[in-house]
Amino acid sequence: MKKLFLLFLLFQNLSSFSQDNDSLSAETKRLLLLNSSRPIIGLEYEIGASNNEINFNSIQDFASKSFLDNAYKEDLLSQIDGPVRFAYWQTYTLSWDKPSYSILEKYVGGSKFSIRNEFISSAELSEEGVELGLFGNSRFAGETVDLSKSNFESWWFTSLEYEYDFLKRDVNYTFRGALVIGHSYEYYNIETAKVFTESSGEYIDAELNYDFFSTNNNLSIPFQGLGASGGIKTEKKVNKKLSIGADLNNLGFIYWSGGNEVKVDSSFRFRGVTFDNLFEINDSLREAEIDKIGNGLYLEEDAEKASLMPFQAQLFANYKIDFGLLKYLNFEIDYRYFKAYTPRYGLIALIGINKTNNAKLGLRFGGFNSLAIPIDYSIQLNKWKIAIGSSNILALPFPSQTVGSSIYAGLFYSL
Amino acid sequence: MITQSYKLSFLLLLLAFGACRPDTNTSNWDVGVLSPVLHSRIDIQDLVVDSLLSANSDDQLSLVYRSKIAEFKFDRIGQGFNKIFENTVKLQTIDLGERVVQNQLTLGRLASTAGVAGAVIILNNGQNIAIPAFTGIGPETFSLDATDFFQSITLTDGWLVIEIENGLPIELTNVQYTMQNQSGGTPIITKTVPSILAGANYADSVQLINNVTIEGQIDAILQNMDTPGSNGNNVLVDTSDALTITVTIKDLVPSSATAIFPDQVLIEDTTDTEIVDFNGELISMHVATGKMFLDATSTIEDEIIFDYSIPSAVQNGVSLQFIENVPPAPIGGFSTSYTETDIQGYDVDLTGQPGAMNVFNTFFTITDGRIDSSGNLINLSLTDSVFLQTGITDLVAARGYGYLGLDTLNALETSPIDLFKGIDVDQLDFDEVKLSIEVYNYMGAPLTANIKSIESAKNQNNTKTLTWSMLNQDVLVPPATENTPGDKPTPGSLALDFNKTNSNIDELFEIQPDEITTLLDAYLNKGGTTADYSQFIYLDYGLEAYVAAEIPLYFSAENMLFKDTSDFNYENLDPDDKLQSGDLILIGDNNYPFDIRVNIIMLDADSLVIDSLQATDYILSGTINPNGTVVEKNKSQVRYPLNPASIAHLKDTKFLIFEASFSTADLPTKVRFYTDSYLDFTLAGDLNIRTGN
Repeated sequence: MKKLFLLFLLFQNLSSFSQDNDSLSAETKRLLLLNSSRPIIGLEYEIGASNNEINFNSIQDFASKSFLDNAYKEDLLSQIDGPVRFAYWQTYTLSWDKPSYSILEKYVGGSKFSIRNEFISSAELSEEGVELGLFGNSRFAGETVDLSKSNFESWWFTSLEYEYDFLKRDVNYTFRGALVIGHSYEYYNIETAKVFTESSGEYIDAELNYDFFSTNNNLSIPFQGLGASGGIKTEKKVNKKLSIGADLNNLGFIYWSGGNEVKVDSSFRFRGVTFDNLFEINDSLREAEIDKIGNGLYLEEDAEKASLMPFQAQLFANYKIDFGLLKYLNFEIDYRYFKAYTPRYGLIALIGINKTNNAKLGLRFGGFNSLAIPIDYSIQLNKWKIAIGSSNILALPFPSQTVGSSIYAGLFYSL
Repeated sequence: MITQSYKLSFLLLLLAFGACRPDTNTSNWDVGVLSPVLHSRIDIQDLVVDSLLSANSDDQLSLVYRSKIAEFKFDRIGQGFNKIFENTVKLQTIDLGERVVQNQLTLGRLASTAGVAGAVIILNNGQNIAIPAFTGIGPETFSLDATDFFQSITLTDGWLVIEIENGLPIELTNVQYTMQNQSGGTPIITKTVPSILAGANYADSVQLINNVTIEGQIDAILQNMDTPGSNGNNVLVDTSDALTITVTIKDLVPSSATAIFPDQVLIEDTTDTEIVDFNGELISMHVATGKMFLDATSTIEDEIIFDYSIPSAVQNGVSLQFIENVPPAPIGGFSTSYTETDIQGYDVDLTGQPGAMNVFNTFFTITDGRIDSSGNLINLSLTDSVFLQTGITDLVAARGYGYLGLDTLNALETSPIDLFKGIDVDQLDFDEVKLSIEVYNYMGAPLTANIKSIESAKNQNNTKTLTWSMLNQDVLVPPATENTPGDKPTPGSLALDFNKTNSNIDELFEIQPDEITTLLDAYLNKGGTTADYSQFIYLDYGLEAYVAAEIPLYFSAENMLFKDTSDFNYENLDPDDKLQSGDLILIGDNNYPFDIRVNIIMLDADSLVIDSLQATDYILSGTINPNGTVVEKNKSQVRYPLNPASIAHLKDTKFLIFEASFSTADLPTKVRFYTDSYLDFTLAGDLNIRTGN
C-alpha cells in the first residue's frame, strides 16, 4: 500500500510537470513554483443525525441523557405521527491534498489522498415500533404491535482514498478510488412482525418474517470486511458564469466475513420455556429448552455478506454572481443511501467576506422531508485554515422545530 | 529503517481509526416487558412417583407403596476366617544321602613294590605259575576322592563302612590299614585284618560321632600286607587283578557340611483346619473372598520348593494348589519368599480328610517342602533353617451348605418412609388404607418370626404405635429354595395383612411418617430336633421384611404442603442487572380438586431465609361435584410483586424453596383424584427492564 501511495504521488507530480520542464527557462520555472498550489494537510470531523419526525432537541437529549424518563419518552412519542426514518453519521478524515491550479492558462490537476473513518446508520421504524422500543410490550397487553416494514443498516469502515482531477475539453473530472477496510456491519429487514401479547402475559403470538445480519463486534482489532469504492465528479462550464456537474461518491461494496445471520419466517405462540417436569429443572435442561425454541423459531448460521456502501449522488449547478459579498449561487439535488431517504434540494450562496474569510449559507429541503439552513465558515490564518459548519443551523435557535443537523470542523495546514 | 517506520505509522494510523468504535448507545431507559417465562403441567405423576400410583377401572388413583422396612442376616458365614500355620525346618532333618567312594590296587602295582618276587610275577603275567610268598608290602597310600559329593561334613552321628574285595589269586595276610582325612588329624579308623582269602570280601565299619569331621579327600593307607603266595600251586598271573577298597559313609546326621545335597524332602505336613465359632455343621462352602499364602525365610544355600495345597478346595474340577520356590540364601545371609493366591470361587469340602467320619466345618491343607539337588557344593550347619508360615486369610464364604444349627436374632430396625417426603399437611384423613407386612426368608432353613412392635414416626417425635392382634405371635416363614447355586434363592414368604378393621394402620399413615421402626425376633430351626444337611445359607441374603400399603386417593387435606428446593443463581437470569421492578404472575388452569397457594422462599448461601415472595391468593380448584370429583377446570392467577428490595435479595439468593400449599375444597368433604388430574400453569413476568449495557 505504501508503494502504491508513493507511486500515485510520483505519477501526479510527473504528469504535471514532466512534459514542460525540459523546455522551460529558469525564470519560468520560478514562476511556476510561485503559482503552483501547495500541498495541504487536513484533519476533519463531522457528526450528524437526521430524521423525519423527532425534533433536534429530543435527539440531543437522547444522545446526552444517561437515563430517559417516562416524561421524555411520552414527549418523544407525541412527536411521531407515522413511520420514523432516521440516520446518524460520524466521520473522521485525515487528508493530504494538492489542489489543482492554473498557470499560463494551463490547468494543472490536483490530487488528494485521504484516510476516512465513517460510521453510518439508518433505519425506518413504525410508530408502534418506536413505542414498543421505548415502553416495552406491557403497554400493548391484549393488543397487537405491528413492526412490519422496518429496517436498519449500519456500517463502520475506513477508506483509503485517492482522488485525482484533471480538465479535458472544458470539463473538469475528478476520479476517486478507495480501498475500504470494514470494521462492522449490521443489517436487519423486518418484512413482517406482528406481535400480540395476552393481557396477563400468558402467551405471546408472533408472526415474524425478518432477517438479521451482524458481524462480530467484540473483536479487539475490528477488521471484518474488505471492499472497494469509487467515485467521479464532473463539472462543465456552460458559459463564463454557469457551470453544471454531477458528483457520485462512495459507490462500492464491502465484503463482510465472519458474520452471523438470523432468518425468521414463522408464526408461533410463545408460552415460555416449557418443562415437562417442573421439579427436575436444571441449567442444562433450561438451556436445551431455550435452544429448542430457538431452533424451531429461527435459522442462525455463520454467514458472509456483500453490502452496498452508503453512497452519495449529487447534481449541481454553480452560478457566478460576484455581487458584493455574494460570489456564487449553487443549486443542488442530492441523494444519500439512507433508508427511506428522499432526494434533497438545496440552494447555497457562497459569500466571500474577504480574502481570508469565506462563508456559505443556504436552504435545503428533502432527505427526511425536513427544512434546513446549512452554513459553513472558513478562515485562512497564514498557512492554517480553520473551517466549521452545520448542515442545519436552525437546530441551534430552534431545536424543537428542527429534526436534524450536523456539525463539521476542519483544520488545514499548507505545506 | 525509514520503510519500517512508515509501515508502523501507517498501521498505527489504521488501528487508531479502526479502534475508535463510535459509541451510539448512550442512553438507558426502562421498558415494560410482559412475557411468559415458563410453562409446565403438574399432573399427579409429578406430585407422586409414578411407581407409587395405580388406577382402578374408574381411573381413580391409589397410592401403592412398598418399602423394605427390615433386612437381617444371620452373620454366620460372613465373618472373615483366618488360620496361620508355622513350621521351622532344621538341618538335622535334611538327608545328605549315602556317599560311596571306591579305589583299586592291582596285582601289578603290588608286585612292583615286592622286589624279586614281584619281578617274577610281572614277568609271568598271563602264565600259570606258583606265586611265591612275600611280606612287607606297603605302606601303600591311595586317595578316596569324595569331593564330588562333599568337601567336609561334621557329624553328630553317621557310619563309615570299609569293604575290601580281594580280587587277587593269592591270600592276603596281616593286612594293616588306616583311614584318615588327607589333611591329617586323628585317623578315622585303624585296623589289622589277619587274612583275606583270594576272591574273598572283608567289611568293617565305624560309627562317626562326637562331631567327627569327614573330608572329601580321604587317604586310605595300607600300612602292611603279607601273602603266603599261591602255596606252591600254579595260578594264572594277571597283573590287572585288583584289590578293591570301597568306603561308604551313610546315615549322616551332620552338624555342618559343605556338600552337594541330594533331592530330599524337608517337610510333609497335613493339617486339619476347622472353621470355629459356627454353630451349625457345614459340609461344604463356596468361597466369596479369601487368600492362601506362603511366607518363607531360609538360610539354606540351595533353592527350596514348597508345594501348598487344599485338595478339598476345587474350582472347575481342579483342586487348589500352588508351588513356591524359595531362592538360595546368600552365604552368611538369608532369603525370603512370599506368595499368595486368591481362593475366591472355590468350592470347599468341609468333611475333613478322606475317610473321616462325622467331621464338619473342617478342611485340610498339605504342605510339602523339598530341595531339588542343584549339583553345587553348598555349606550347611545345624543353625541353618527354613522358617515357614502358611495359612488362610480373610476367608469369607458366599454360601454354605449343611445343617445351619439353632440361632436367634433380635432386631430393631428403623427404615425411612419417603411416601410423604416434602409434604406437610395440617390435617389428613384417609378413608381406606390397606397394609401388609411381607417377610421373605432367603435361607434354606425354616425361620420363625415374631413381630414385637411396629411404630411410625414423623420428625422423630410424633409417633403412632400399631395395635394388632398378631403382635408377639410366632409365625413360620418356610425355607428358601435354591434353584442354581450362586443365584438368588427363591425365598420362603409370609404375608401379614392389616386394615382398618383389624388394626389402627390408617393412623400410622395419617401422621405422614418419615420413618417406621420394627422390633422383630427371628429364630432359625426353632424346635428342630434332627440335623438337616440339605440346608443352605447365603452371605448376601437373609431375612427381608417389606411394608406394602395401598392408599386410595380419596381424602381431605388442609394445607398439604409440598416443598422443593432448587439451586438458584440470579446472574443466569439477569446477568446485566436489567431488572428494576415488576410482578411475577402465576397463571393456573387447575383441574385438581384443591386450591393451591405457592410461596417462594429465598435462601442465601448459608441456607438462611432472606426474603420470600408471598402469594395473597389461591390458584382456585377445579369445580367439584357432590361426589368429590372435578367436573371442570378453573383458571385464576396470582401476582408476586417484585420491588427493588426483593430484587436485591434475589441477587443474594442461592436456593429457592417452592412451597406449594394444597387444601381440598369444602373441607372436610373428601375428594377424589383421577389419572387426568393436572394443573397447567404459566409463570409470566410483568417486569420493568432497563435497557443499555
